[in-house]
Amino acid sequence: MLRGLRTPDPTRRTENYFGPAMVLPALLGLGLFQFYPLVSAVLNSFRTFNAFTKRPTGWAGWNNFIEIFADDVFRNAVLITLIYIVLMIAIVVPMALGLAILIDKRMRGTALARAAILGALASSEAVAALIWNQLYEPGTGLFDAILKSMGLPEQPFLVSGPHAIVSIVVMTAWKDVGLPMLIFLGGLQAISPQLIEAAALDGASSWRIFRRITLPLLRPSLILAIFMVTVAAARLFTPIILLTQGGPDGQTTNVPFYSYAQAFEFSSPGTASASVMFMMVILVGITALQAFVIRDSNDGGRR
Amino acid sequence: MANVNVRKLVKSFGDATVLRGIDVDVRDGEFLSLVGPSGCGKSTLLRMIAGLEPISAGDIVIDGKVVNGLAAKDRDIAMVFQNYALYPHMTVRENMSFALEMRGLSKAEIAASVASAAAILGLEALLDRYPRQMSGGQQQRVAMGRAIVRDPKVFLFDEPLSNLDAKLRVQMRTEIKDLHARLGSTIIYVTHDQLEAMTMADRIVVMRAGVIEQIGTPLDLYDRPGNSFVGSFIGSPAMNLVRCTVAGGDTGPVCVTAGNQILARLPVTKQVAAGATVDVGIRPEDLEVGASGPHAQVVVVEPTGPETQVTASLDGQIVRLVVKGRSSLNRGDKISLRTDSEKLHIFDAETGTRI
Amino acid sequence: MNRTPSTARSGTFIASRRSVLLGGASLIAAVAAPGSRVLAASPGSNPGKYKADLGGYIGPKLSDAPMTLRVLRQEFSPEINAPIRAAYTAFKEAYPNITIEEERIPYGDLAKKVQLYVASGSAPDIMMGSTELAPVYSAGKIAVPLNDYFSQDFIQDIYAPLRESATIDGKVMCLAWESNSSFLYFNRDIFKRAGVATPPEVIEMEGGWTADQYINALRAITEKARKSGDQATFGLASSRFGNRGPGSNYSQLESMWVRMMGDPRAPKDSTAYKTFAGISENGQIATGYLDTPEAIKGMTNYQTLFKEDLSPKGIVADQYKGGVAATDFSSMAFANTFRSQGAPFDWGVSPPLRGAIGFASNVADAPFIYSGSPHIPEAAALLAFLLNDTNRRAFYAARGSMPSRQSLTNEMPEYKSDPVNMLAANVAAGAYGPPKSVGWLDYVNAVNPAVKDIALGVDVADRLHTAARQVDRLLVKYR
Repeated sequence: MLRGLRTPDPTRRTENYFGPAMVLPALLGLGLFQFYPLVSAVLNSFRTFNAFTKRPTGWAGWNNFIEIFADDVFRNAVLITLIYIVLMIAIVVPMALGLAILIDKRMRGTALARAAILGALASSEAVAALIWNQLYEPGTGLFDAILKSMGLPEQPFLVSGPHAIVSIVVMTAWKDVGLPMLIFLGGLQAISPQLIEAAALDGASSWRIFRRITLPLLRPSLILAIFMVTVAAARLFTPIILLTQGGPDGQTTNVPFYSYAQAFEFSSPGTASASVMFMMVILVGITALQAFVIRDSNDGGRR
Repeated sequence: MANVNVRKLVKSFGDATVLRGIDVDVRDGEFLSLVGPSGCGKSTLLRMIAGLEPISAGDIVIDGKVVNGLAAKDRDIAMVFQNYALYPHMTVRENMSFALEMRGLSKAEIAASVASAAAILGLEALLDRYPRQMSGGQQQRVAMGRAIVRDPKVFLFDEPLSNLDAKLRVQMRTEIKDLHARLGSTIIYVTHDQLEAMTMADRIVVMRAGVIEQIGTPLDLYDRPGNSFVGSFIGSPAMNLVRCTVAGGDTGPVCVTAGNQILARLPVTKQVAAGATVDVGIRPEDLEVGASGPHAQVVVVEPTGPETQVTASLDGQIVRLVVKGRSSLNRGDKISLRTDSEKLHIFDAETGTRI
Repeated sequence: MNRTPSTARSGTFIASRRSVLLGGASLIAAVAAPGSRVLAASPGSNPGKYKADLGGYIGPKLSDAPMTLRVLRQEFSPEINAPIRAAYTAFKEAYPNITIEEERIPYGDLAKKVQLYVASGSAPDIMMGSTELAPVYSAGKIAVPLNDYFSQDFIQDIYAPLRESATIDGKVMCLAWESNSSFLYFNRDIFKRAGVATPPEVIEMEGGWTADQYINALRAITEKARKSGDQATFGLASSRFGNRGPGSNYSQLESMWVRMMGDPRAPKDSTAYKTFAGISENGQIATGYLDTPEAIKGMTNYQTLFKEDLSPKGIVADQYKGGVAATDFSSMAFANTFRSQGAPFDWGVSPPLRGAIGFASNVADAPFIYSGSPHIPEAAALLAFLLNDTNRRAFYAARGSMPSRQSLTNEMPEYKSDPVNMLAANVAAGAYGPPKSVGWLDYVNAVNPAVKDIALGVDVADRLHTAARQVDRLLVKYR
C-alpha cells in the first residue's frame, strides 16, 4: 500500500485524488454543521457583544464565565440540572428495566405495550409536552379532575417548584423510557435461557436469579442506559420551555434553559456561550467517565 | 442418591404431542442413557425430570416422592447443559459455590466442598478463572464440577459432549464414566450418539417420535434389538438390513434377495411362512468375503488401520462389511458374501418387529 | 405640540393631555387646537407632488436606478393582505424601477427574526417592529430616524402615546401601524344572572371602575356561579396575549395592575411616580420602581384574581367570546368581531380600570427603516405610500382595527357617534406607552415569568424584588 502511494503510476495517482474527493462532502458537512458551531461557541464564550446588534465587538477574557458564576440563577441552574439527572436516572432506569422484563416475558398484550412505549418514544417532544401541559393544567387538567373526583386536593403540578421538577421528569420519563427499555430488552434477550435454568436448578429463587444472574449480566446495558439517560436529562429543554418556561421563580431552570434565556431573551450571546461551554465540559466529563467504567467492566470478566 | 420413576408421562405443546406415555424406572446409582434421533423427545423428557418443563399427564417420582408440581429449585437435581451454562460473570470458584450459597451453607463448608470437587476433576488451577478464559473441555469439566459439588439426588446430562472435538469427546467419555464409578450417583444422560450411550451407560433407553422403542443394557440392545429401528440405530457401522423373501430350500427355508440370490439360510429358531417378506439384519462384522454365496460389487473401500470397511452393492441394496486388517479389494471388484445364519436378525418387513 | 422628549415624559405633559380628554368638547378642542392643520390638506395625503401619493413623505426625490426593496412583516389573512398587495402594485406602477420583495412570517416569530436579521448585518429595508422597542432601535442605531423623511404634520397626527413611545431624543424611530389599547369588555348576561351591577358605560378614560370595585364585582359573580353549581364561569378570562395565560404580555396587559397604582403627577422621587415610571429615568434600574409598595399592592390585586379563583390559573381559549367569562380586556377587536359576526351574548364596554389613575397601555406594531438599507429614501417613500390615507383606509377597513392616526379616526363617523368607538379613541389618546429603556426586552422577559409566578401564588413582594434585581443585572450590559 505504501509503495502504491509513492508509485508514479498515473492510474494510482488519480485514485489518490479521487478518494479524498469522495470524503470531502461529508467532511464539509461535518465541519460546517458540527465543528464550526462548536468553535464559534468556544470563541463566543470569550467575546463581548454589542447588546443591540448581537455582533461581536471584542474579547472578554474570562468575564463571561465570571459573570455566570456570579449569577445565582446560573448556580441554581447547575443544581437543578443535577437534580434532573438524578431524578431521571432514579425514575427512568428502574422503570425501563421493569418494562423490559415484563415485555421479555411475552405475556398477553405485551405487543401492544411495546408498541405504545415505542409510540411515545417516536412522538414529537413538543407535542408530548403540550399534551402533558393540558393534563397538568391547574384546576381544569385531567390529573386535577381525577384528584377532585376522588375527593383529594388539587396538586400544584407545574405551579410549585418541587412539583414542577417532578412533573417535568415524569413527562420526560413517559416519553423517553422506550430507548433504555430497548437497551435492556436487547440485553435480556442476549442472556442465554440456560443460565436462568441452571440457576433455578441450583436452587435460586426468582428474585435471587434476578439479583445474582440477570442483573450482573445486564451490567453493560445498565451502564449504557444510565449514560444515555444522563445525557438526555442534562440536555432537557423542550418540556421546560413548554411546561414551565423555567419557572416558578426559576425553580425548573436548568443550564440549557439558562443558556437559551441568555441568548434569546436577554440578548447576551457571550454568557449564553459560556454557559453552553460549561455544560459541554460537564458532558465530556460524564462521557469520559462512562468510557472508563465500560472499559473497566470489560476487563472484569465479561463474556 | 435416588431412583427416578417416570410413569405414563405425556407432554404436549399445544396440538403437538412430543411424549406419548413414557415409562422408565431409573435405579439408584444407575447410569441411564436416553438416545434417539433428534426430535425424539429425549431432551424434553430430561427437562421434565429437571422440572424445567411442566407435565401434561403422568407422574415423575424421585426417591419415592411425586414431584410433578415441585419447582426445579426444590428438586435437588443437577444438570449439565450442552453449552455448559456457566455463569459468565463468575469465576470457576463462584460458579461452583453458587448452589451451595443458595442452600445457605457456611463459607467454610462451601470452600471445603468446592475444594474436594475441584480435586476430583483436577480443576484446582482454574478456580479463579472466568469461563471465557478457558477451553471448551475445561468449561465442560467446570460444569460437571458445579453439579458434583452439590451432591444432588440425580445428575442430568443434556448432550454434554456434543460441543467438543472428537478427541476430547473420547477423553471426557472416559472421565464421566470413571466419575460415575467413583461417585456411584444416579445419572440420566441424553445423547444422540449411540456410541456414547453404548460405552457409558448401564442401560440405554432408545426413543423415537415420543415413544420408547426399547430399554436394555448396551449389549442386550446390540445382540437382540427388539426391532429394525433399534437394530440399525445401535452399533457402528450400522447394521445392514437386506430386504428378502423367505422360500423353501433343500435344507430348509432360505432368504432370497431381490436378485433371486440366496442370502443365507433362515435360522432354525425362526418361524416364518414361506413367501413372507422380511428384513434380514446383518452386523457388518458378521459379513465376510467368501468363496461362494450371493454376489455383490464393491463400491467403496475405506481402510481405517486395524480394519477395512467395504461398501458393496447387493442386487441394488447397499451393504457394509468390516474386514479385519488390510484388504486388497478395489472398487468394482465382484465378491461373494458369506454370513453365519445363526448371527442373523430377522425383522418383520412390515412392522419392523423382531422375529 | 413640538415637545422635547423630556417634557414628553414629564407630568406636565400628561396632565395637559388628560385635561384635553375630559369630555367631548375638549376632544374637539384638541383636534382644533393647531388651527392651521384642520384646514390644510390631510397630513396623510399629498397627491400631485410625487409620481404617487407618498402621503407624509418629505424626503429627497426618488432615484430612477433599478433597485429591490425588501419588506419583512407578519402574515395576515388573505383579505387583509389584499390591500397591502394592491398598494405594492400601485407603487410599482408609479416607480417601475423599484421591485418590492416581501417576506411574511408568523407574528410570534417576528421579533426574533428581526433580531437575527440585524445580527446578520443584512436585513430587509423595512421591517415591522414595535413602538416599545424604539429605545433599542435608537441606541443600537438599528433604525433610521424618520423626522427627515416624514412631515411634522404626519408625525403629530399619530396618537400621542404611540408617537411618544416611538420618539427617542426627539427622533421618531418607527411609525405605529394601528392602535390597540385595551379597555374592559363585559358579558351583561353573566352580570345579570349574578345580580351584580355592570361597570359604568361611559366614554371617558377615567370613568371606569377602580381595581377594588372590579375585584368585588368578580367575587360576587364567582360566588353566585359556584353556589349554583357553575364551575365553568370565571370573572376574568384567561389572557389571550402572547403565550396566553398569566404572565403572557407584561407590556400590553399585566403592567396595568402595577402602573395604575402609580401617579405620573407625583414628585419624581416619590414611590407613586416611580411605580408609574416602572424604571429609572436613564432606563437602567428597576429596583425601587418595579417593586415599590404601590407596585406590590397592584400585583397583590392581580394575585387575588387567581387566588380567589376569579380567573383561571391555566390557559383557557376564547373564554370571553365563549360566554364563560364575565369580563376581559381587549381593543376594538372584540367589538368588530361581534358586530361583523354577531354577538353570542349581550356585551358592553367600560373604560380601563383605575388605581391612582385610569391606566391602559398602548403598544403598537410599528414599521421602521433599517439603518443599513442602501436605499433609505426609497424605503421611506414606500413606507409613506403604505401609510398614506388611501392605503390606510383600505387596510383598516379590511382589518377592522383602530387607526393609529387621529385624522383617520376623526373622519370615521362611528368615532363621533358610537360610544364603543368613542371610548376606544379616548383610550388610544389617554393610554400610556411602556417605560422607556434600551433593555425593555430584557425587562419584560424577566418580568413575565414573575407575573406568572405571582398568579400561581408566590410571595408578591419577594418575587417583585427578585425580578427587579434581575432586571438591574440584565441591564448592566447596556451601560
